Amino acid sequence: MNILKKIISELHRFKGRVSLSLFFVLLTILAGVGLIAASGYLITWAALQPPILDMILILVAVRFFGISRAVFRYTERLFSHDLTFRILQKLRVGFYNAVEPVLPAKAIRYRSGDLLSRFSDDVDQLQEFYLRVISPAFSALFFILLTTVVTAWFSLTLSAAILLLMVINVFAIPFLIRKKAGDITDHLADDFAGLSQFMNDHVQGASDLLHSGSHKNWMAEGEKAIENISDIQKRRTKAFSLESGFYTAVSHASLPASFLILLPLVLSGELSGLLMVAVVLGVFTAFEAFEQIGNAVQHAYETRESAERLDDITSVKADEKPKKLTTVFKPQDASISMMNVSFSYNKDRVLRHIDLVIGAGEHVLLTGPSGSGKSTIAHLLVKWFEPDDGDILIGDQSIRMADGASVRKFISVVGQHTRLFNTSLRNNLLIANPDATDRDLIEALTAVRFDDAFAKLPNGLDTQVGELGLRLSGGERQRVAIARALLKDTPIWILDEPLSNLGRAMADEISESVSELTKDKTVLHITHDKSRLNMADRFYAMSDGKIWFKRLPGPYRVSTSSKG
Amino acid sequence: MKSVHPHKVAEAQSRLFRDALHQRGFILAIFFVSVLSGLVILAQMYSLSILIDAAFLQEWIPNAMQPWILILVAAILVRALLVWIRTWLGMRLAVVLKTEYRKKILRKLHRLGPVRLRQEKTGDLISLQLNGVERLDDFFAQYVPAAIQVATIPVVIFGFVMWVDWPTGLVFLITGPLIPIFMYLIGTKAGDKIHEQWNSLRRMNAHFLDTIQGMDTLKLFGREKYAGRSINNVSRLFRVTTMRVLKIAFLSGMVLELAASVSTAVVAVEVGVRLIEGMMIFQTGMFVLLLAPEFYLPFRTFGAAHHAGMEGAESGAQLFDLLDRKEHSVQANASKKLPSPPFTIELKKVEYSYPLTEEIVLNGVNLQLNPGEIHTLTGASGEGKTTLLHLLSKFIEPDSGSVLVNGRLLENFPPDLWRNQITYVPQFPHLFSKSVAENIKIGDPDAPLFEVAEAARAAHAFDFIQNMPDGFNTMLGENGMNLSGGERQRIALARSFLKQSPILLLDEPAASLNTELEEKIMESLKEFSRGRIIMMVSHRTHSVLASDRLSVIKNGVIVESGEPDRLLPGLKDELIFDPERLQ
Repeated sequence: MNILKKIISELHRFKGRVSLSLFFVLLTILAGVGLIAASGYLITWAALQPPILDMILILVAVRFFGISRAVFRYTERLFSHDLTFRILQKLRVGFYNAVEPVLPAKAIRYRSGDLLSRFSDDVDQLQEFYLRVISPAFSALFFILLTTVVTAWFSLTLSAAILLLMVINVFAIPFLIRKKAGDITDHLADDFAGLSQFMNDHVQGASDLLHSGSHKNWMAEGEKAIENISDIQKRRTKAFSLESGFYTAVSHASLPASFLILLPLVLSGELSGLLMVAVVLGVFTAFEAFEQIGNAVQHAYETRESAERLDDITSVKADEKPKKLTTVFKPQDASISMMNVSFSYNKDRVLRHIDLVIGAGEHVLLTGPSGSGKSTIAHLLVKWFEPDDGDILIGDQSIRMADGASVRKFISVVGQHTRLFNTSLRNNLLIANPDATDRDLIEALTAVRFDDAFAKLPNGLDTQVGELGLRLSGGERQRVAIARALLKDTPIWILDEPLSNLGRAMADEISESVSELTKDKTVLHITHDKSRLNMADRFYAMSDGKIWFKRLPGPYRVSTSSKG
Repeated sequence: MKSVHPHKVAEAQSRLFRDALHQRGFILAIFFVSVLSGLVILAQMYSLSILIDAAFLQEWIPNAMQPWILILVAAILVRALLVWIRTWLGMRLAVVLKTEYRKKILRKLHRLGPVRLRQEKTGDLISLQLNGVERLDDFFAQYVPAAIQVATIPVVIFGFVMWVDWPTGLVFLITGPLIPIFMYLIGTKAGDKIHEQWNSLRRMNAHFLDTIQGMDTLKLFGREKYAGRSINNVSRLFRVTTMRVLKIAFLSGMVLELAASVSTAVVAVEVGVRLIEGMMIFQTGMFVLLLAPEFYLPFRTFGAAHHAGMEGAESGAQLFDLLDRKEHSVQANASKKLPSPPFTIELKKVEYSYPLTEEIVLNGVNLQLNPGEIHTLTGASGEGKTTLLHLLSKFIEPDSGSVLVNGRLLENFPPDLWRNQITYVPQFPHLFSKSVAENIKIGDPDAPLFEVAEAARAAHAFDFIQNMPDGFNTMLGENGMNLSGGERQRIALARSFLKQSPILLLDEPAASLNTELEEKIMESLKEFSRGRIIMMVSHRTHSVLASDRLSVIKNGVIVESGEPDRLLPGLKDELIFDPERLQ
């Protein structure tokens, strides 16, 4: 999907509203022109001391323009904002539908969080495309035409001169300036990328750096990156500030130009002095229509960049395209087996020839150091990705040809970072099971021992959990996640480091309730914490994408359960 | 973008303004240029009114008019020049301040240190440094100059009009101040409403962002289609309610426009009537009429810049939120000098609990680290092993108890100097977007290549580095080659061998290695440990057996400490874990 094209086609769909909105833009500027022209005409005529009754009409015109300009402007703002929101709505839905199939695979694949943190800025940028690009561009074109035609009626020379000035203002200056600034701007993009890279190293590698003893050099390098951007921006200010100077020079040049061109006509009596004053002032005021054109061109450039980035997110490479899915997914039981599964992100091999078996109702522990590929196994099971090689069976049925959503119906995942949406606790639980009653929800919360914390919440289930659920503590969030898994009630559970962000006491407590709640489930527990061994029937250890150790069904769970 | 509390935005706005005012040179220059612009506008309109008067009422004498034409053209050129300079000054001011803020962010992140940074998303910080700071541009380049203009140009014009035609001056006097009053109202009552609405627009953006970023959660629960519909509904509802508010909110904007255009009309009518009555001359009337729009123009520019200013202020609020973050207070009695190595470190009754949850992690840890010793720490996950390493690096300070280095309190040493004595090899070291050699040289940027190679050899990284496409010049990091956990650690280990610091902290260095490599690396470490402190977190038999001392941490205290071969048999499987022992 090309986002810019989409906006333009949306505009086409709203053509009635677009025309109305543009119509009022034009009326607003026209009223401004009318006000100044009529005022000039009025006082010039008044200097001839005519009877005041003759002037009634022009007095009314001055008053009309004076008042109507503000009213037109008000109406125009209402229409254009309404339109912008309508476009925004379509844009959001369109964008959502476009990214829905490729997420979260794409975000995981390009590990940098950059991909998704930048896009809201980009969507913001697009929503103003009509307001800040199309509308000013249209009114500029309209006023070039209108002024040329109207002035031609008085003098062709004047018409040509004004046309020339306006074309310089609208076409020559903004584009020349941007051409000049363009090369500089290319450097700027590189330098921004450089600073972004530096920041990433600076934040992610903070502890490596602080220990290196060379952080002074490092900081100097960072300041250098900032200075580079600053230098380029300084050079750019030279180009961009020229624009406003040129704009002022050209638009004001219309004053002496139209005066001097019309002067001979007035002196020879072909044109009345009254009209000359009105035309000189009116033409000058019409240049108001071009005030926003520099910004519009700038905005257009930036919008194109945003659109390209968004297209980048929504684009789907051939290997990411979902295959035609034929199978109805109906596994016989909740066993899992991965056979000779290999997988790579881009060029990095993440998994090599993985064989992993989980019998129905078994609890399996998968451990290994960070970066060894444990989570990728979970990603493959919920079908964020397809394995490059090998096959994955659930209940003896391959999931290869099954639709992701239908596979996920059988699996609950409790991860390290539980994502809560910025809404009420109730809504956060209901996504797991929209039909659950409040009683079900409270039952689930009690089962995960959230009941004490629940009693402290100000509004019970209606409590807003805050942005990203940050108003709840880490342990509380994990409990909510487990409650959600309970409500979803699936035969398979994947626990992907659900305890690693918690202190030991909290982790033990939650671990205990999880083993109790998942007694009859098939569980894959991914952790780097070997002390959870007693929770498992089977045990795998991974390192560098390979399973290097496995322990077949053993006494662990048996012995602990007999203990308890 | 996160939504920010309105009063924080107002606070940020005045703080940004103060920061701008501190750039005296720029502010004075913009002020000066604005006053000059006012004078040039007078000259321009005066000469134009003379010319119109001559063409229309008086006799046109080309020679007499020539100077006036020249003045008009010159005034326009000077005016354009002044606009150019003023714009340039504003943009330049913005660049200077943006650069300053960027450096401040950089230094702040450095001072906050890795433990506090862990709570932040890297993407958010980068986005603040790049886009967030960039959004301040309009505030400094447009809003601040517009504010200076509004305080100068109308004053100059008003003064002059008072002098040549006081009745028109009176109209200006009455309507002029009305505009700031209305603008003040926009800034408060109606403005609050608009602002509130923009905020809810942001919240809606946040909802959209939330939905997209939470796509994995939605899909896991099979709710992705429902969420798509909900975006549509939320957007539609938002439009309907917002338009209802905007209908009222835009009224105040209309009043501002009305004040400007009606005043111009009033001047025209008032001048016209006096002309008919013969109470004034035409040229003066023309002059003040031409000045009327110029008088109101700065107000309108300021009104338009106001919105840009608010957006900048919102970004500023986020910026200041980061810059005001509390950091380590360096002790007042911090000594500049460290004792010289070899070091002996002693932890006495060290207590620490997480600042947010107040959960106790260390509950009176006693531990002694001697030079020449490899000291291994073991314990279950979440027992505070990493917290101990952070304490030793001075990323955090103990709540009570003391850490003594050669008998002196660690808290009195400047953190930067102290960390220079330490190398830390985390479980998953960060690879910088640089070459392999540079990644190793982070510990010692001036080291010659043969030393780098030597260090790599000691860390048993030499062979796999040689096998990389460009050997030691292979690019690593986000845009380069990705390495496995074990390879990363060996690069980081080479880093520390090169740096030769007296203290080495290792977090599970053998976790991704096979037994053979593990043994070899322990040999290297053993050799390296002469006169140094090596503190290591590990769960592997070979590592433990190769160390000189083993300590076990549980429930926030060291429960056992002694020779490894004596302690090892008593430890549970889950603490010391090796394939050999399980099979």
